[in-house]
Amino acid sequence: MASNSDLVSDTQRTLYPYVTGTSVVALKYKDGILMAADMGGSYGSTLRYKSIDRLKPIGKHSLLGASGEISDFQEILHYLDELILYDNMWDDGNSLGPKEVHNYLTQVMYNRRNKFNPLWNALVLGGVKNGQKYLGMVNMIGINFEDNHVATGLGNHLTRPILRDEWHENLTFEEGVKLLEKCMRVLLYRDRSAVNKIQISKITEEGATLFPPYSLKTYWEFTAFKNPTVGAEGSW
Amino acid sequence: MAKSSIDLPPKGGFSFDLCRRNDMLQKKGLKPQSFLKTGTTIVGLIFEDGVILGADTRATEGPIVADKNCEKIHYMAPNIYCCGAGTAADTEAVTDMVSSQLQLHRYHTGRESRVVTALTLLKRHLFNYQGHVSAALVLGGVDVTGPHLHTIYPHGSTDTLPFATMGSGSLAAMSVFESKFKEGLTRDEGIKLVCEAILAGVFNDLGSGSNVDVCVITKGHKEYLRNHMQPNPRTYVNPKGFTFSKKTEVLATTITPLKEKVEVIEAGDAMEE
Repeated sequence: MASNSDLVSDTQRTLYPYVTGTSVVALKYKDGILMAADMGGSYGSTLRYKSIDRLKPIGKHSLLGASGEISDFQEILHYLDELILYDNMWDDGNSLGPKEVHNYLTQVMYNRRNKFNPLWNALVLGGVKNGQKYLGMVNMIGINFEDNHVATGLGNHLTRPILRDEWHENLTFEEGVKLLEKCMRVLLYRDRSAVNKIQISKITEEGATLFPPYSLKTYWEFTAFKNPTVGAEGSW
Repeated sequence: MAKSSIDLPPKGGFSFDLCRRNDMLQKKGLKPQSFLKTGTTIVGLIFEDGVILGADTRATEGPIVADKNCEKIHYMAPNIYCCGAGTAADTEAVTDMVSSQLQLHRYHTGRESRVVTALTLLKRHLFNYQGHVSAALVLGGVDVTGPHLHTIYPHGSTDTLPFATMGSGSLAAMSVFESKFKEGLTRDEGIKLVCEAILAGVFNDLGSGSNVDVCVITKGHKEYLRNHMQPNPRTYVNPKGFTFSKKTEVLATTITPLKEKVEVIEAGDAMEE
């Protein structure tokens, strides 16, 4: 009996990612979810694309952020388009909330992983429905969970410590943005594939808002950076 | 007919003798050693009067915590201390060795040791061993030329920085430094920031844990604050300790004297047998 993995030949399986997006960081705040990502698409070690939108609203209640292979992200958007369309066609006043979309994505990701043909992404799904805030994550092997703050990729190592220390319930919008900017700045300094062009988006009961992209201010004026070999000329 | 080649003493510079053997081993499937970041969070920062070093206190052996409260801040000179991450034996041995070399140098020159001296001795040794001595160090001290902070990697490269982190918890600690460090911190602000960085490693990295050690070095004065913070105490401790529930009853007593009863045989007859 031929297994599914035999039917998909090696040339059609995702073996490595090619154009990748780096970390996405998200947190729950008073009115909903705040999510941030930069706009870079790296092709290996080259920064090939500098205006990739990695945060997309899904339906009326959710926001999806993706890191990893961009083409797989576009395919996921295609699947979600179909999902939302069928949901709208019922025309029954109900609409898929973030929990449902997250569940759908988890099923898709895990199934693809079982067929040895993964969608090479780590997804962040956040939203608000009927006053209930939801923030979850699912990655290419199907690991999924929900939490008050999530991050993908290097963001897990660099930003989760900051979020664990400084996140609290009922952050205001300004506090949330300031916290996200702090996280994105650390990523900008210490992630080699980060770009200084970030997008922040929020989703509340009223709907999703994508803010225009902007750059973070960085600081390079430490005296040790300017004059590192004080006392030892010739060393580094 | 002797085919043995004469062993020439090394003239200096890198010796390529083992390259052919290494190539052969690699072809046979030996994977080259990769850089191991063993469980630790160590940090250093420069504040207005000098240098502050910090370290966690967990030593791991694979998945097990081998030592809950080890010392990772090593003495190099009265004005220089060094935090070590990586293989514990390597960090201990290399810092001990350079510490002795520095003392001999002090006797020779009659002057206080400089941080760059320790730096050069360490990096020469580590480069010589091509990364096989797995010691990643944060070296800090104050000498006549001012306060200095350096990181030294196992392969022998060094960096001079205003703030530095090493070890498996280095990313968690670096995220704290990158968001909160500024120049000209006071002593208390500096200690607080170092503790925050180590705590980020302790609570977010599985390879780091237990307590926080801090060492403050200023011109002419140093303070080694062992276990400055203990955020992981044992929760339930019996104040009485462990006691056996009932007294052990004595069933029987046998006394065996330790001196042997030796038979002395007449000298002549015994030897002849």
